[in-house]
Amino acid sequence: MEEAEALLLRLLEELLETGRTVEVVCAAHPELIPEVRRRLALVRGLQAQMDALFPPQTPDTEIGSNGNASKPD
Amino acid sequence: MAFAERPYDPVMQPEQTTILIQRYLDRIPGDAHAETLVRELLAQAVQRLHRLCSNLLHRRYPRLARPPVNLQAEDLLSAVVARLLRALRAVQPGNVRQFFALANQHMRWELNDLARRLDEQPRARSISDSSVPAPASSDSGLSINARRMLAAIEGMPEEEREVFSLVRIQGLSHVEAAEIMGVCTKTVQRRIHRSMLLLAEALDDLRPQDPP
Repeated sequence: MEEAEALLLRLLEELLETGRTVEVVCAAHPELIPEVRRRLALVRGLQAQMDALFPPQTPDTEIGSNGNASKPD
Repeated sequence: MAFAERPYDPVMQPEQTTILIQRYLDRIPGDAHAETLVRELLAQAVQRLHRLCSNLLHRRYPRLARPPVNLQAEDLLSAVVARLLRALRAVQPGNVRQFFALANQHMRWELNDLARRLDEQPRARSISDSSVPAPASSDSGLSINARRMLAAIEGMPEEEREVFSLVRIQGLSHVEAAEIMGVCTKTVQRRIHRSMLLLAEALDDLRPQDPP
């Protein structure tokens, strides 16, 4: 169970860092695509709420400020 | 609280910020004007906290910022500065990283306290002042989400909490945060991503709440 969670986290981190699509990042684990999508949606929903509570001071404080993570799947 | 109104200086370079703060920290022990130095040291943190308090007040509780309540961010900040001053006197940070750790901790506590007070205010007024219409039911608990977010931040592992606090709460750039933590900006970015993943997991039932 912990291994599965670690794998999920690793895939999500790769997704956020590289800006690749969910399909590409999960190519070796297609069964995880629905859960990765769900977690990614949670992160983006939370991002909006965090931005409201802690407005970014500088452009690079936003997640995906490299233009990667904000790209549509 | 003049220093809280000092405008953000976008020209200041990250290394200037850390050098400046370290210089203040080095001079504090034995300095006859330590109080003045500590106040200057706090200026940037307080300025950022002022912005966060204003944001919370005006976006979430605009009604409280208008007459007859006229609640202002400055009113909310006065206690914060006093508390930070006391904390800095009691625990003198030895370096910039320790200073920000202390400031971040107090800023999180103060924001949590502010959210709690704002949540309590409409209920208290509806009991004590019958001339003022009762608040809309949507007012109650508006900043519960904020408090849950702050609690989740508090519960994160040290590395993620530190980077999240420096970047999102203090409003520092990735370059400034990297300088303070002694890591590269890529590491800062990776920890920020991880912190968001951890927070999303901890707050997966959090629902957006619209301002009144």
